[in-house]
Amino acid sequence: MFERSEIHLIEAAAGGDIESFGELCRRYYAVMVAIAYSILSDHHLAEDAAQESFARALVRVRSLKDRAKFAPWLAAICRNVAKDMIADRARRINAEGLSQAARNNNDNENNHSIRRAIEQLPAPAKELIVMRYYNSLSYEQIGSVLGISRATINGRIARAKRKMASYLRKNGFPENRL
Amino acid sequence: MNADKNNKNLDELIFGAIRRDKPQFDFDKWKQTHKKEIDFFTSQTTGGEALCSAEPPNIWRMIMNSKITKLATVAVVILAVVLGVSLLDRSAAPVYAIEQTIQAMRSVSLVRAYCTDWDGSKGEVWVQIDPETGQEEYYYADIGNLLIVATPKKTFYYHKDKNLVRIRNEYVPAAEVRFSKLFEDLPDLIQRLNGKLDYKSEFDQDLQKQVIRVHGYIPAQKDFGGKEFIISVDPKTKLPINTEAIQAAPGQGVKSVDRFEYNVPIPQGLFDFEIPEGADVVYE
Repeated sequence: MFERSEIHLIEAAAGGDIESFGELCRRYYAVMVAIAYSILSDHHLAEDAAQESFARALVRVRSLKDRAKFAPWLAAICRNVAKDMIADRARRINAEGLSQAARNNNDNENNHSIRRAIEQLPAPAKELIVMRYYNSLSYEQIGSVLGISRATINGRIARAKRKMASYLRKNGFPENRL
Repeated sequence: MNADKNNKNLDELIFGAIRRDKPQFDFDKWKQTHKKEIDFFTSQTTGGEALCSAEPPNIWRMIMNSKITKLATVAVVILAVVLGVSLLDRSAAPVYAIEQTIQAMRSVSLVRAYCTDWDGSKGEVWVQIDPETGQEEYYYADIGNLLIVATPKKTFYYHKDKNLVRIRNEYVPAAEVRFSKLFEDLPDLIQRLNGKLDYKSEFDQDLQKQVIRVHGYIPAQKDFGGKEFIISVDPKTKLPINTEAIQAAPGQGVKSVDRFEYNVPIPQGLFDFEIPEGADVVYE
């Protein structure tokens, strides 16, 4: 019934315990998918990227010096994997890709606008917004990956949302919906 | 009050636009599709205790610490810069050229580099690569007084002048990047170092053909000095032909890689290391 501490799991994984590594993967899967989604804007690709990140991490986990930084380390791998996937395809999935995805999903115009507003954010802000709203990650989960406090997360999310609101107003989004 | 309401509205809009159910991770299924990585992980486990103290592979640290390893890394740095050019300046590198570079690199399963060090000594490095994964499998480097042979489970450092063998129970890679997937692995590294790159097409008098000349500069970092170099790339194959360091701190890479060969036959037994008679052996 006791949940093993993360550092215990990392130490065990670095010592060769594959099941401990698996437990870490389970804990961080949603976070990694969100990070990858913020880059790829595609749900399926984001899951593929998260899983590929685990593969890369497994091969290198022994070389991780600061075990307390497992989550940021894994997140960095995941960002690289997602960027690799874009490079592999020699194309960038951008706002146009998002709008296409929206159309494919019979999405409404509001959602399309919101996605575009997210897309225009700087990469760190976009990542944070996606982490928070994509699959409702807790502040604790976000903080563990980004290495920042709850207050900092709050502040950054608020700033990102102000930028989004400003973008939406400039682009004719109905004021009464905001 | 309005601010709160606005905030709530925007929250709902964002949730509505991108919210998904938390994805579930099936580790057993993942294991089935990542057997290669698991085999590698398992083989490390059975390799010995030294695994726990494994240092993170770092091409710059290795360049600084080991005269031999630096040779192995030189090629990586060179190739990294070549690919970095494409990535850092996408506007000047058409997509088809990037794709060609990727394809060229992916076809590489063996790199042989002929090197010259700053003291004029010659040496060579061989790196065998799994073309599927891009992971190094073996490497051999021999220059001056140091010989390195890295195999999947052990890395041997032979100091000829001291008749001393150091053994690590792990594969110490030539670099943290994959030779054949540098395009994927290295852009961040290059950008992180705030390096500058430019390139132009030139006629090489020695080679008597047109080459792409890559001029790179990496400013001094916390752990190592600045470095400036030129790499010549074959525009047809998109693979490096040679490289020369213009400026580097002591111990930071060889003077030049005079020639690269790709996918040449490996001499039999190249990666078989035998402890020389009478040598002192240290396990690390």
